[in-house]
Amino acid sequence: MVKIKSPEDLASLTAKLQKEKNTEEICITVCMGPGCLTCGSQKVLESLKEEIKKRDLQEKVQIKETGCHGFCQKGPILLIKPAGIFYQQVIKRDIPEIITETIINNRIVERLLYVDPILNSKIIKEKDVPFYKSQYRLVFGDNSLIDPHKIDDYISLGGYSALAKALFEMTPVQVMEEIKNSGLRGRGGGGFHTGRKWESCRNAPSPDGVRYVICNADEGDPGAFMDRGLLEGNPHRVIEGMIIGAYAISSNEGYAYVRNEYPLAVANLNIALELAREYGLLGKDIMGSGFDFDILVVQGGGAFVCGESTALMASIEGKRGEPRPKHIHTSERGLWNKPTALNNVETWANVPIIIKKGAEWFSQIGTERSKGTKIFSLVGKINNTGLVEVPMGISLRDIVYKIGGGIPDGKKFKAIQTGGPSGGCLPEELLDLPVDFDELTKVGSMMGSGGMIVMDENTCMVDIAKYFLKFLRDESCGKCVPCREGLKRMVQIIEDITEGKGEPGHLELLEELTQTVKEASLCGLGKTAPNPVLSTIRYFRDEYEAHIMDKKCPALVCKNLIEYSIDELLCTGCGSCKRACPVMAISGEKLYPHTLDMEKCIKCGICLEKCPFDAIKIS
Amino acid sequence: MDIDKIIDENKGLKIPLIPVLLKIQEIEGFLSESTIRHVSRRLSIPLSQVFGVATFYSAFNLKPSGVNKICLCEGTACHVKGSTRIREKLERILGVKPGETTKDGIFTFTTINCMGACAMGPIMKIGTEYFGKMTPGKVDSIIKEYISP
Repeated sequence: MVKIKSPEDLASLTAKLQKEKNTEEICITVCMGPGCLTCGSQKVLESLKEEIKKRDLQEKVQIKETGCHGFCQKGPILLIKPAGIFYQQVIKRDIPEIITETIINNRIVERLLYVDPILNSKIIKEKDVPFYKSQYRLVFGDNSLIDPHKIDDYISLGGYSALAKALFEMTPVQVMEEIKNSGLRGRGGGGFHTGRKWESCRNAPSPDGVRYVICNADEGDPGAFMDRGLLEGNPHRVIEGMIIGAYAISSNEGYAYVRNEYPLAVANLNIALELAREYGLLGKDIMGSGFDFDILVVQGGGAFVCGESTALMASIEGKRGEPRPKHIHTSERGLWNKPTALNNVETWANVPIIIKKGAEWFSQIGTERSKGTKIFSLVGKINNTGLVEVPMGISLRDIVYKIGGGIPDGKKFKAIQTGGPSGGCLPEELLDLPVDFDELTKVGSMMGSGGMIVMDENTCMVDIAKYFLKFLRDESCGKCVPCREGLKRMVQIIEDITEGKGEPGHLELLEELTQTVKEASLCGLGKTAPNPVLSTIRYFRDEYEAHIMDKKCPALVCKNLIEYSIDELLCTGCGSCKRACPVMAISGEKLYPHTLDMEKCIKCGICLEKCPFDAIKIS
Repeated sequence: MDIDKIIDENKGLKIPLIPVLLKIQEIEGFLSESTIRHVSRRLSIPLSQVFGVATFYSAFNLKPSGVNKICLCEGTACHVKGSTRIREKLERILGVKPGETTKDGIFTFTTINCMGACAMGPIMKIGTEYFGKMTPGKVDSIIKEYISP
């Protein structure tokens, strides 16, 4: 690899790579994102490689392994260029046919096409799929064009040119001002102004001149995987952003703190860092500018609280990840007590775009106080699950129905949960709410890092509140009493409610406790912990009351409050349930309606899953 | 073995403790008391701090684990789609609670807060193999394959 020693070197390399790119050549792109991997894209890839070799097509056909494309629901996904054909739910067996039909005979394999559920028509090209059509994929869009193991892929798309611009055409202060003017706010949840954070870090005194840059990739929110998608799919964009940030605050040392549960992200990031170093884009004298900066990857230990900035820094320092009071911000005294600029993965990934296209261009996207786009992980009870990127200000309804394709099985929408364990559940009445930092906070939820979990009529909101409380109780580091003890008591109360032991006054007690926990806790975990409870009480009070007063769970979820039975009219006596029942609670003769012994039943729900005739009822 | 080698390789790091413990665990499967004492001595970090770190982070096991590690995701998306019933089913057929190992040493059952593949939930992982869109009914046949491959 030849070192890039000047911006001209980079420009000529980019031009060379673009010229070499044969736009006519057939390229089969295989999505190796987290969703596709879980449904077998590795096997698809292997079989594709084998088949291409077997038919001696290596010269003609290129195979590209990329990160997440976003449409996980339909994985494994295959994209065939230059035609742009979009094949979904591809399995190993389909590969020979794809090669024969599409690659050799230029014909479409109809059964692998995406079917528009509303128009019932088949869609050939990726860009016409409604899921992608309504998105604005500013940060995430390049994922399907890049092999994360190849830095040239990123450079050929103009990668690292923003870094060249920053280093050679702008002063550090100008870079900082540009970010400030763009209105970029932290994508990790808090929504603090990135430029302002950098400014206070830059201006904070540091006697030995040491300042640090940190990328927070401790994506702990359950139900969110945007940062994983970005880091695994397009690591160079994050690295480029970090180098630009380091230049702006004059730091020479950076850390990327990656969740323990994301080994692939750690691996891809390390490979990307090594490649950037080889090109001279990282390390000493970057691109011949005289600026030095390097990044070290730190693997977390699996603690949710380490997503909090001070806890994360303690963890990098090799200590227990316990937060400290933030009377002095981490931008002034952070890692090893030095001024530290900590931003989330997605925030860093936005930086090169802003520098390249300018603050003015960027600030035209979004709403008045929330600029740019946001990536959400759209999951739960929704037809099109996956990662979606939308401009700020889009309504929740558009996300759920236009992009998400609505609720499966004709069920009714009940709530959408945003902001992870610190956020809240919003009801149908608020679906027209524009998605931006301030609007979501106003209604008792928050933007958070971008998890969006859709719930339907079969989701019990009390159970969801219990779920988050238990999660936070387990993840509370235990340092401060209000959070450690308060959450425990809240779980006890809510467990009583879901077990049918709720009493009048329990709701008020819960509300009182939430106030204490909120006001007296040390860090963000405790301060926001009551949000899931408060928002569910606020919007779904009737469900709590049904649990407490009527001892009923309207969504039929809470085990102690439901009963299973067999509908004699629908039961054909096939015996599926009887065979599957782990406690032998079902009896009956073959071909005659069966009966269920409530004394023995443990309400595991397996009979419900096994019955082909919908004869198992819950009441 | 190689604990000393790992320590030597990482000794120069500014922050050796967590990387060293993670790497040792990768090889040994868990952190024994003697390992923790040894690391503390070799890195000159107080035993209380090493033990504190080892017990704080969920990535570290202080007990040996079974041949196969079953990991069930209990993230919000998986929870909404019914991971609780899968957990109960696993507890029933394995006879252990999350964090425990079966008596025959074949399985260690753990749960995780989020695996980061939320779109395919509920997700279960055994070793390095993923099982997406799980239901309690699918559990039996999957487990059987690991008992008698």
